[in-house]
Amino acid sequence: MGIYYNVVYQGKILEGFDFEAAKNKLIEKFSLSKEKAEKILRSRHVVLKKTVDEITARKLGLALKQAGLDVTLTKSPVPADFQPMTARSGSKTEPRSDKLAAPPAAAVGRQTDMAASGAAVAQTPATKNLVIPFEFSGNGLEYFKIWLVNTILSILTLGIYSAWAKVRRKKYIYGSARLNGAGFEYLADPVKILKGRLIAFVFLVIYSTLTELFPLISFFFSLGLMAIVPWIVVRALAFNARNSALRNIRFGFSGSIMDSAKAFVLWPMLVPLTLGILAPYAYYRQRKFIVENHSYGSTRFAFTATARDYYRLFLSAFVPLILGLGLVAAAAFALPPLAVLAGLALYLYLFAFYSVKTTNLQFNSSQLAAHRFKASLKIKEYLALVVTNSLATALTLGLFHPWARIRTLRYHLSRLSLVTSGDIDTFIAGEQAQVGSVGEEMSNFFDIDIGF
Amino acid sequence: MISIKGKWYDGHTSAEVPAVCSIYDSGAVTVEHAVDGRRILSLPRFTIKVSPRLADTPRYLHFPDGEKFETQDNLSVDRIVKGFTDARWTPWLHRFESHWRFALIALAVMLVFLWGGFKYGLPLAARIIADRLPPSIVHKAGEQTLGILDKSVLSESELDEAVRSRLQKHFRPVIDVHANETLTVLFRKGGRVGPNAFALPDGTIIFTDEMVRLADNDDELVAVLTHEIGHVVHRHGLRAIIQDSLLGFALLAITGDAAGSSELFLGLPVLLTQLAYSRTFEREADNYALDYLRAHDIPPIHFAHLMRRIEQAASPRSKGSGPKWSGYLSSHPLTAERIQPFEKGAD
Repeated sequence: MGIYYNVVYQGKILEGFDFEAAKNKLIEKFSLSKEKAEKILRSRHVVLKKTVDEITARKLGLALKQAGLDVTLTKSPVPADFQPMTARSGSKTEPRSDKLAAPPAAAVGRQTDMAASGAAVAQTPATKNLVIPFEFSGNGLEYFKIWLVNTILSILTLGIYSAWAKVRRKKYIYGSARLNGAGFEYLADPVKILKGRLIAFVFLVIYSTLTELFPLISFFFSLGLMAIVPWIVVRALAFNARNSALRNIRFGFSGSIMDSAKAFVLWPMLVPLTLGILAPYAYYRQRKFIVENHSYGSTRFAFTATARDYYRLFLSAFVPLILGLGLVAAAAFALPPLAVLAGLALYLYLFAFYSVKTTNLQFNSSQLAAHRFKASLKIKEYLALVVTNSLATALTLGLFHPWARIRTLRYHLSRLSLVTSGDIDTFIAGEQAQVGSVGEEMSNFFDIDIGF
Repeated sequence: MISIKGKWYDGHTSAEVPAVCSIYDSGAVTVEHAVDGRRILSLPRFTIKVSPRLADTPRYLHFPDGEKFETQDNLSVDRIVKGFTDARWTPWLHRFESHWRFALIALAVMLVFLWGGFKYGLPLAARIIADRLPPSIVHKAGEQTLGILDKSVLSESELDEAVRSRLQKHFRPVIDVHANETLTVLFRKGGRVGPNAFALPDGTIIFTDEMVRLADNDDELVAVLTHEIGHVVHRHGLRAIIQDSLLGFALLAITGDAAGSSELFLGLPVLLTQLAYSRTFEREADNYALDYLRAHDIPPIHFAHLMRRIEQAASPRSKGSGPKWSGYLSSHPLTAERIQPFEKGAD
């Protein structure tokens, strides 16, 4: 196994060249568009070529220096199963392998695809996939103490501090999650959250007072609430995404209220009308809406699952369900108190079953550019987690909740990884508008965490 | 000078550069490539924002033009925070969060606050709100509740007109004593509800036919009536609604993150608290009834008799009451415990 190099440009133009000259050379020698050349020259750091052998790296480095770019070669960490790319010209199996790799003199005519591939100059050639597991260093005890101290401050300030408490809790959870050594960061402004929280709180008080006092017309209130659910969903997802960052690139969410209304009101409304037959479809539409409208920087997530996958998933629960119901019935016949236990066990099992299956399907069907996710939660393990969490929460009258949250997250992330295809250095920041937090705070009624 | 190793992200792409960030005593900041030592950026003054210390999670140094430096070197960053920023309370926060002594104090304070708040604070707030609600709203609320009950479980009374007017006449003196409450007594067939009586916020008191039939004499029903009037006088209906809502709001404001949990019994504390409120109200109503009956020379034992019979009717096989702890899962105090003072009153 040899040593491999990245060819990196760090914003320095060699003496004797100026910006214009270097730009023209890049356009001329590497067939880049004007925009691309400028983009490269303006960046403070860009990997122009990743994980190539020394000779290829030196040749490319020389060519770039002749164009006036002060590039450096850095050693690149290499996965065990990595197949190195060399600049052998004419290798047709890997058409994108020598975008920048061959010395200009050798293959001037073959360099056009560098322009075509746009900003992805630094994309690694068709490497083997690299599996990067998510890491989580959160600790239940540590989080419990943070939760405790911040909750006390929330109580002492009559809830005003709760916005700061929320940010602090989330910062801990985000910072404890890492991908390839880089931590996630939660960036929301507590003052903004406080404003949203106040509005949502007043709304909630009015809403529940009216429904409690006037039960007959509460139907209309819930109808009114339903009308704003699509808005809440979109704003909550956007607020969370917008305030989450990895490697200094923020996430984003751009779902329209119209699509949200379809996914969260129209399809669910049709479920009872079709006696539940549409339930898997409605669920599928919601997941699709959520995943597809998320983006990392300017790159959108893609969702490859089909309605058929979700029908298969829901139907696969049928056998355990029927078996379980049979057991419950038998228990009820033999010894009634046993039936309660059996019913609870069945409920727990189905809960774990669906949580695990839907999580796995959702992540395994999500893509970011050419990168995929891999989730492999296990029903047995998740069931053990849910049972212990529930028991501990019940026995401590809820005090175990923060702990349970960390345990759940740790399990989820321990079973989740990113399968990269090419490198993850090339995502570009996107333009996103600021989002208010009212929707996010209102969504506390709803369970719509995508869990990134 | 403080030098920190970490990773550099320019904010335009997700590219990662191993870097060293140095902060000079003057506040000047430089960032250099960790491998070849090339200068990436330099700032003449300290104009970066440093994320607060939070356990041992990574620290983020945000530069004015949107670049970010990420590091695990919490100790060095803490020195920077101390030397170059005026963050006053976040270091303290970290100290509180990371020491067991503070956490235990926080836990104790929290338990006291929760206990005091739920036992005295919320009920007091609910009473204040209930007393200030305009009567017209209360009336509307009662009307609508009755409407719903009539549509769902109750149906028209099947008692003889004679029985009903006899009872109304018998209740008259009690109702007249409470002239400033708008009390109305109604009879309905209980169906699923069985022998029961309840008071609505607006002063409407409903007896089920089953309850009337179960009574041996009219004074037993008067005893029940005084219990229900106790609910009305103490505004229990409204207070229960307000209290339960406030409880939900309070928990939401404190925790604020119930979504996405994987536990089943998270609602248990809320339920237990609501049941505890309900039992408190029942005791208040019982006391009201006891005082009234004694003051008006009606033997309180009537109440005890009828309660016993209701319990027998509900579970004929049961010898008395369930185990003691089941009291926490009930909306009413245990019958044996409830009727004790009424039986004593007979001595």
